[in-house]
Order: sequence, then C-alpha cells, then structure tokens
Amino acid sequence: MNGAVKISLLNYELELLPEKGIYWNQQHTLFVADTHFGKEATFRFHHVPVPEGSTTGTLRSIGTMVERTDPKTLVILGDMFHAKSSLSKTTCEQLQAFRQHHPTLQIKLVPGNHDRPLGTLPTDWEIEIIPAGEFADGLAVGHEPDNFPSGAALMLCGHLHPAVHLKSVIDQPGRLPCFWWHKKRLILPAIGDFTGCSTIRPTRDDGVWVVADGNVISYPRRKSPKSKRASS
Amino acid sequence: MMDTVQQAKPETPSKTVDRFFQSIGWKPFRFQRSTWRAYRDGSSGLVHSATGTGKTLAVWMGPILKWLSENRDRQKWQPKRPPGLRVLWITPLRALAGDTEASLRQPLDHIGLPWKLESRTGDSKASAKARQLKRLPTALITTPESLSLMLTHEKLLEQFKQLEGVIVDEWHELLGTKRGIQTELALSRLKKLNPKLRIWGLSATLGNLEQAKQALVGVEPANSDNDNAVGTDSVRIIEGYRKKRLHLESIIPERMESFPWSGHIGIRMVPQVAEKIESVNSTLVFANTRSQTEIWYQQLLKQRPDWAGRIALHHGSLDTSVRQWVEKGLREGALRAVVCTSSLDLGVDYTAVDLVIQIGSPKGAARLLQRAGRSGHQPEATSQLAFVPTNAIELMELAAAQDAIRAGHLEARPLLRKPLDVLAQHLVTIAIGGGFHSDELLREVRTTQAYESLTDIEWQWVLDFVVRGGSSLDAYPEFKRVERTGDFYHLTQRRIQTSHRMNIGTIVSDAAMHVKYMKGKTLGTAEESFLSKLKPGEKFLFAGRLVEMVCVRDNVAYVKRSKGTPDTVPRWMGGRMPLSSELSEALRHKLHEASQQKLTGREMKALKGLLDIQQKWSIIPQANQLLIEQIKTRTGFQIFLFPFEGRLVHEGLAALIAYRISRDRKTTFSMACNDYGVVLQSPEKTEIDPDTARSWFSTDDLMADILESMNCTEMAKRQFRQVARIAGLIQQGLPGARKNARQLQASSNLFFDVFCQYDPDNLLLEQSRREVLDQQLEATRMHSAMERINQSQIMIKEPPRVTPLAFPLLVDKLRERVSSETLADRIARMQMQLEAAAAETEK
Repeated sequence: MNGAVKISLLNYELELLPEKGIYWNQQHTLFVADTHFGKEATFRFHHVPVPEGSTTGTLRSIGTMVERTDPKTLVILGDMFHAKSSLSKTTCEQLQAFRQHHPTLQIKLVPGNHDRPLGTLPTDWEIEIIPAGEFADGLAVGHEPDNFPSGAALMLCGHLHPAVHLKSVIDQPGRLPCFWWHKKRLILPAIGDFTGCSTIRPTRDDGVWVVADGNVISYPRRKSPKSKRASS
Repeated sequence: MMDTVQQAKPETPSKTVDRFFQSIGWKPFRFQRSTWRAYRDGSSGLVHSATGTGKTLAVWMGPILKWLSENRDRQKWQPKRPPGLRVLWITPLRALAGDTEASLRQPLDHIGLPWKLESRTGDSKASAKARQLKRLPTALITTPESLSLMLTHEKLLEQFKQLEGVIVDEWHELLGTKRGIQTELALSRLKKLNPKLRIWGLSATLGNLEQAKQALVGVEPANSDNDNAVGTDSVRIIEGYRKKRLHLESIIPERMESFPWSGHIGIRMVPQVAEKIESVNSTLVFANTRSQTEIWYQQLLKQRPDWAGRIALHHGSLDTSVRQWVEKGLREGALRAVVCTSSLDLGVDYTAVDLVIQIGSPKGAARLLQRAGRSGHQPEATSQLAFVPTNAIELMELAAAQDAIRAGHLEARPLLRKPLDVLAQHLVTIAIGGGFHSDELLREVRTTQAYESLTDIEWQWVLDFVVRGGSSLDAYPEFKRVERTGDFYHLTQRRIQTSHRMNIGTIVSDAAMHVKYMKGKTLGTAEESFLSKLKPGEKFLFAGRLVEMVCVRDNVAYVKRSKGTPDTVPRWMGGRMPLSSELSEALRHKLHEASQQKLTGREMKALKGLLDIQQKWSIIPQANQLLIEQIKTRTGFQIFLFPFEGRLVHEGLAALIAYRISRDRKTTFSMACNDYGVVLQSPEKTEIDPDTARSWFSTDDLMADILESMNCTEMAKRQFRQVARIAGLIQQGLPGARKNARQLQASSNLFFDVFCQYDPDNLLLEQSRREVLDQQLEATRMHSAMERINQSQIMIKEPPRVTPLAFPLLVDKLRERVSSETLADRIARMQMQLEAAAAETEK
C-alpha cells in the first residue's frame, strides 16, 4: 500500500507515510512537521543564490498525502516558515496556490521556534494557530519534544529532524530520515525539501521507522525481549 | 656603510650588492647574477632549485639593483620619505611572512636603503592595514588572499599602477591549486594596471616547469593590440645551484621477520630512530599526518626522557605562538629534533638541521628530494635523509623512489582547468573594487593560463551567477549580488561587500574548535567533529601533551593536563596524497625485478622473506601482469586487485568495477583502496575468469560509466562543499548578524541536492563532477592505467591465506559502497543478519 506503514502505539492507530507525514484515521487528520517553507527565499534575501523549487516540492508532497488520505485537517507541527524573509512574494504565491487547490482543508499550525518572529500570516490562507497541548482523545501535539503536556498519553512533534545512520559489518546504506518513537513522543522527520537532518541514537526501547526510496521501513536492529514496541 | 656616503664618486650598484654578499660570507652565484640582469632588462621568469641555495636573494636583489641604479646619489636618499610601492612579495603561508620580512630586511639594512618594507596578511593589525590603505610601503609581503582583498579597494588601484615587480615565493605550493588560480587572476589584474609589470616566481624543481612558468606570467591574448606587454619570449626559466649532494638511506627494522605487514605509525622503529637522532646535532622528523606527529613525539620522549625540552612538535593545528617558538629553536640550533608535518616543508632555511628523517611513504620522488633539501643547508653541504618504514612493504617505495630520483623522473604538478567558483569570487572582488565592463574583464581573465580557453558561454554563466544567481531567468527571484548598469558591473551594497571580503579565499577548512587550558592559554585547534565526541575526562594527546577534556563552551574545548595513557589521538582531516605515477611505475618495476628473483638494494634484500611468502601463497606480479586474489574471510567474499597505480586511481577503479559487476547482478560492494590496490567485498561470491576480469577494465563507455558509478559514491557531493564555499554559497559568518547566521545554515550536501533537483544545469555542479574526475579520480591517469592493464596478462589466484600484499587492504576500513539493490532490500538483509545473530546468541 504505497510504502506506508500502519502502526499501533498505545492503542492509537497511526499511518506513517513515505512522504514523511502521519495520518490519523480516527480524527481524519494529517500531521507534518518542519516544512520550512521559503527557506530558499531567505537564502536569496541574504544574497546566497539558491534556486526556487523546494517550497513547491514540499507542497507537492503534502498534496500527494492529502489526495491519498483525504483528511479534514492538516496539522503543521511547527517551523512552517524558515524566517521572516521566507515570506517572499514567490513563497506567498506558492502557498496561495496550495490553498486554492485545497479550499476545504482545515490547516492548523502549532508554532515552532522559527515561526515566532513571523507576526501574523495572511488571513486568506485561513491557518488556525493552535497552542501545543492535547489535540484530541489524549493525543497531544507540539513542536519541540520538551514540555510533555500533563495528562496526554502520547505527543506528536517535530523540531529534531531525526535521521539514523544505517551501518553493519557488510553494508552501510547511510543516513536516512526517520520517524522516532521515544519516551511517549513520536517525532516526525522534517518534510521540508530544503532541510537537513540530525542523527539520533535510539535506545533499545525506542521505535524507529526509516524513510527510504518511497517506503517506510522498520529500522533493523536486534529486538530486545522486553520491547513494548508495537509494530504493523 | 655610512662612511661611503662621503665618497666623491658614488659606488656602482653591483659593487654595493657585492659588498653585502661579502658581509654574509657569500659570493653571488652565476644564476643569481643572470636573474638580476633579466630583471633589469624587464623580463619575467621562474627560478627553480633545491631549498637553501640562494633563490631568495636571486630575485630580491633585482629590484634593489634597479632602484640603486636609478638613485645613485646617496645624498638624495630620504629614509623619512620612502619610495612608493615598487615590489609585491607573495608568500603562500601567512605564518612565513614574519620570517620572510626578516630575511628581506637584511640587505635593505646593510645597504641602508630608504625603503619601507611591511607585511599585510590576515595576522596584521587593523591599524597597520588602515595606514597601508592610504599609502602602501615600498615593498609589501602578502598572501594570495590578502592580495585579492586589496583588489576590493578601489583607491589602491592607483598605487598598484606603479608596481614594478611581483615575486611569488614557493610557487610550486600554489601551482595546481585554487589558491594558485586565485593568484593568477590577481596577477592578471595587476598586469592590466601596469603592462610592463615583471613577475618572478621561486619554485622547487618540478617535472613541468614550462607550465609552471606559463601559469605564473600568463598567456598572450590571441590578438593582442598591446605592444607594450611583456612578450612570452622574454620570460626566463633560471635553474639555481644544482650541484647539491644527497645521501638517502633506509632504517631497516632489526627483526624484519616480525615487522608488521600493515600499519602507518611505525612506533616499533622508535629505538632505532632515537639512535639516529642522537648521532647528529639537529634533526627534522617528517611524518605524514598530524596525529602521527603527536604519537611519535610522545614515543621519542618515552624512549629518551632526558630529551624533554630539547625536542619539539610542529604541525598546522598548533597555536601560532607554539609554532613560532619551535621555529626559533630550530633557527638557533637549540633543538635536537622537531617532529613535524608538511608544515615545515615551507619556510625559511634552518641552517642548523643536518638530518631529515621521513616516517612513512614520501608518496613522490620530488617531495622526498624537497624534504631532504631541508638538511645540509649551505650550498656545499650534503643533504642527509633517512627513511623509516611504518610497514614492511613501504621499504619497496623508498627503493623505487631512489630509482626515480636517479633517473630524474620528477613529478609534474597537474594544473586545474578553469574552475568557475574561483572566477565567480574574482568577479565579485572586481565588482567591489571599482567595477568592470564585461568584454574588458573577459579579455583580462583570458590572459591567465587557467582561463585561456574559457568559452563565451561559461563567461556568461559566471556573470549571470553573480548577478542573478544562475542562468535561469526565473529560478532566483529577489536575489541580488552584483548590480548591472548597461554593460557596467559593480557592487555597491556595503553589507554584501563586507560579507564578500570576509569570505575571500579558497581554503576550505573543517569546522575547527580552539583547544584551551582552563586558565586561558591556547594550545591550538582540532576538528569540531572530533572534540564534540569526547566525553569530559577523556584523555587525548594534543600539542605534545596529555590533556583531558573538561568541557566545551562557546566553541572552545577547555582541557587540563592529565596523567596516564591517552584514550585517543585527534584526527585531523587532510588530503591524503596518492603515490605519484612516477613512483608507482618505479614500484611496479621493483616488483618485476623481485619476480625475477632479482633483489637490488638494501631495502629489497630486507624484504626477501616477505616476498617469498607472497610468491608461495600467490605470485609476485610482473610489470606486464595484473594480479587478482580471491579469498573468503569472516566479513564476506574479498576480491583484491593490484594495479599499483596510486590510491586515487584505485578509488575510481574500485567504484567503476563494482558498478560494472553490480550492473549485471544485484549486489552490494564495500570497497577500500591503498596505493597498491583495491579490495571489493560482497556478501556473495563473484565468479571470475580472465575474460570477465578484462571486461572490467574496458575503456568503452568509460566516461559514462565513471559518471554513473560516481553518482553512487557521492564523491561529487563532497567536492561540491569546496566549490559552494568558494563561489559564495556557503558563507563563513555574516558581520553583525549572528541571528541570521543560524537561518543561513545548510550543509553543502543539501545545496547539492537542491541544485540537482531545481537547477540541474548549474555549472557549479558540472564543475564539481569535473573536479572529481580530474583531481579525485585522476581520470586521465585512470584511463592510461586501464589501457596498460588491458595489455597485461591477468593472473587470478585463490591464495590459502591473506597475502602480504593484500593484508594492508583487508585491515583498512571499508569506506565506499556501490549497490544495485534497493535500500529496502539492503535494510531487509541487515535485519535478517541481526536476527540470525540474535538467534545465535540465544542458543
């Protein structure tokens, strides 16, 4: 089924998508993190020539997931824009086009550290700013993995841009972005086309799913006997 | 001196100079006199010879003599009003500027010349730099970077017009590098300002002196309308004093049979080396890497504790004050030995040194000669070099190097072809320093050897790149750098000017962190990637001391002295040099001799036991044979190939062969290379017969296959890092904009991906690929190697054990990988192995 993986974490049924988003069927909600829209424009603003394209690329990935899962709501888990200078004319036009293409989709943003200096977003984009905290049914959302909301069972968040380094004696496929289940947090890989990632060191109790060649694949390692990890 | 002032008839300039030579106990050599004459006559040229034979005075006295003959009347000399700028002295290392200044000052002081001599480098004080911007001294010592920086100041251009001569010291160090090209471009600008400019270079002896000369003085534009320009016929190559005697020997391990087959530290040799050092007054011990110097320094101290304070350590990551102390000690003969890297390859002469020890492979015959020249510094003295092998096979390399030197097969410095990143930087520099008209600057740029063949399309692309970000009209909205007004290009925004000035240069270093004591003394720098992995309390060798990590704060690693044994030694990244093709060929010849039971020289005789094992388990390849060994080990199936063509060619070959095999069959190869051969490791066995093996070396579709295999190994991506930095994509800090700096962080990998995806025609991508082909894979050398192998007999062996030739490859870390499997397949296999291993342990 198109490289996606269905997992069950603490009885929440979630679908990890190869475009780096998570779909929660129960609430008809699609989650993505760290879009960093307009990062290329920020570079150009500072006289560094980076070509156009990564914002539309990121929007295209989101569009693909929206078309496949047909969600009511899209939640962006922070760092929607890279910097104030990211809201260039070109970037705004690209977002406008996305909005027009998906007029009924509710878009919600949990502001991240990059979003704070932005001020208000154009009202015709109809983006609702929601605070970090419980989203629905005990599932919380946030940007940074710190400050776990009390009372929540599980939190979806971003900020870290997680990736793992795959390596064994005989092969070394390299660094791959991943979903990381760590201490009741499910951290999403950065969806932004023009974003880097940082290598994480998962512990035995963690769950990791790498995104490779259009597939979400459970991270290969020796399972500990006491693993509480649920898998597809 | 002053008494001569009273003479009725002024002394002739040449007499004045002779008197200076007398005062230092020398007599001018013939080559020095001919250099002076050539300078007087308005020629440019290149002076080459071994170090320590008076090259500096050969070029430096030219401008002095000329000034003396124009100003014969001492009465009119005005020390308080020194003449304006006449001579520019370019040194490749800013650390050398001080020493150079001292040695250039000597004749000035002796003659009492009213010249002002100053330095301008990254280390100079801001106040001095500001003063110089108003009025440059008579002679200025500078670096390529500082020279480019000066070109951004429009008001200096008037003064540069009066410049009479430029002298480029250690030109061989700059030649074939982007810094060299940066220098060529700056020189072309200076030549434009004064068409009669004399350009002189000093160089070690190289295999391609003619090219070295041409790169230095530039080329004539095809249809030159400038009769005043220095014609290429008036450019001289002058050979310095050449009757330098040389004594090379190897220190052969006492117990050859127990000497290891692999490794690159060689500490078993410490006792013998200590004895050798004891036998003379002052020794330079050259090691190939900085970490090796740290280890050797410690080991020598352990061997001879009484040498504490009398031996020292010198490498590029040590704090300047430490290095200066060591250099001073060397000059004064106060140090018994200094363990160093190529950091002491350059620099003024250390007359006290009477022995050079080379630890590990010298990689090239010219380099070995150059290092040997660091000892026995008076022109009549003999240079002494002792070679210390770090593993058994290295002995062969010295045997080969001796043959190459004897036959006069010295390495050429391959030149770079028109790198567009350096040109882009230069264009911005000129746009700030007064602006330019496109046609005019293109003509000027084409007078450099590097850009002689620059096409109009390439030129236009670079212009577009600095003006609107790229050639595509709509890919770079809102981007601004160089402004265009009609046909005039200039850059007036102060912020961009400042950030460009901060980023001028072509040296790309890894993020380095200072290493400091808690009390504040700086020890030097090490790579952030190394320091950030250390935990507090972990002990490591640094600057010749054992220190332990306390904490990392504000990009400084704080350490304190420690006792015990080190947990680790810092690793500094650095280009690993391949064995030169001259030396590789000599090496194949040595092996061929050995295969015929002919062992010439002490080194080869010492290797008899090892060569016998190789012959018994496999074969010793003849010059017209390619040896392939196949063996199964714990980690998989190994294929060893021994082309003996140097590491870079092997890296290319490994990727290519792995690609060609994996095209026919789904598999994944891990590879490692050294100067002798290649190992390919795979999870399954590859059946080989001579015909299959020969097809791996086919030159059909070679370029396409190389490019294809290269994509797999991501070499271009790594090369792009340097290109992106030089072209100004990655900036090192923006002035007064700390916060922005964080917003502008993106790795070169990320840039590479974004360009590949959204501006695939960007010529900087093309350049990175070309640089990988030319420099990293040495594609030309690879091509000729493959043609040679195609003519060779292919010998396939399945030895009972890993042979002496194969052993170093096997213990080397596997780096590159080529795969035709999908990531999912590879991950699934990893999972299966882990489960199998888990099942194993549960049993």
